[in-house]
Amino acid sequence: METERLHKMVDGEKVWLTEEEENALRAKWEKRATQEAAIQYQHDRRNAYASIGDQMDMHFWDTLNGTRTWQDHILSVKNKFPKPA
Amino acid sequence: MANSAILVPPQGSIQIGATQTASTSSSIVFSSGITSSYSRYYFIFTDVAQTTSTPALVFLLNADTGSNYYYNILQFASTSNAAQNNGEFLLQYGNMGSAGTAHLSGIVELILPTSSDAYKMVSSKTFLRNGTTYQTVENSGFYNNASAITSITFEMTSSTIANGTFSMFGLI
Repeated sequence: METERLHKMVDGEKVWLTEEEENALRAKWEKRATQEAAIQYQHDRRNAYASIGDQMDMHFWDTLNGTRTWQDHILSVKNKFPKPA
Repeated sequence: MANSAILVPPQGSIQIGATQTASTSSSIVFSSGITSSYSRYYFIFTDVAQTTSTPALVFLLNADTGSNYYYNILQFASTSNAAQNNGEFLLQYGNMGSAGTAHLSGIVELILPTSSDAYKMVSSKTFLRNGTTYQTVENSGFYNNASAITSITFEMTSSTIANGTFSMFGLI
């Protein structure tokens, strides 16, 4: 089945991309996807870390009790979302 | 389910042109109405979703009439590179999440886009619902190019825009 050509909306009007424009766009998508994949671990880690308040609470109790809750939390996130080699 | 964030441009703003609706569209372009008549422009987008993969929404500033325009990917925090012409500048943390679960709404403010000064300030606030996760991100940056902006484009980094509405407002 033939794939329908891509379009863009320009000031409310549908404008079909030329073959050249579509090829250029798909090449840009591929390049960006590669770039994004390389830094995805940063976003995953940022979303997985506990809030600063919760981390301070972990520090407080670790200091009082001699535990390593905070270190374990940070380590678990880093291990779950490793930096690509 | 739509993202239910309430987004309102400042009082006194005037909508320029019609609201544009994406439907598996490669991009949404505002090329008419960006003039020196308005000092600030506001772009409101609601319930934006991607077609495939895990892309991010991109805000592009076009300073010429051709295809050789600079683009900024609106990105938050330390990984941003917003000061440069081709700086990356995402509208949310990383990508939006999987297609079918992610919905993004937000507002972008663009200050003095037609001035000949180098720095066109951009700030944004977005609301992302990705499955059961919610995320609000505010960020700002500037476009370091002395040329006047002639058009604005929204597009995904690596996908078409499945749906979403986009409106442009001007404030004198």
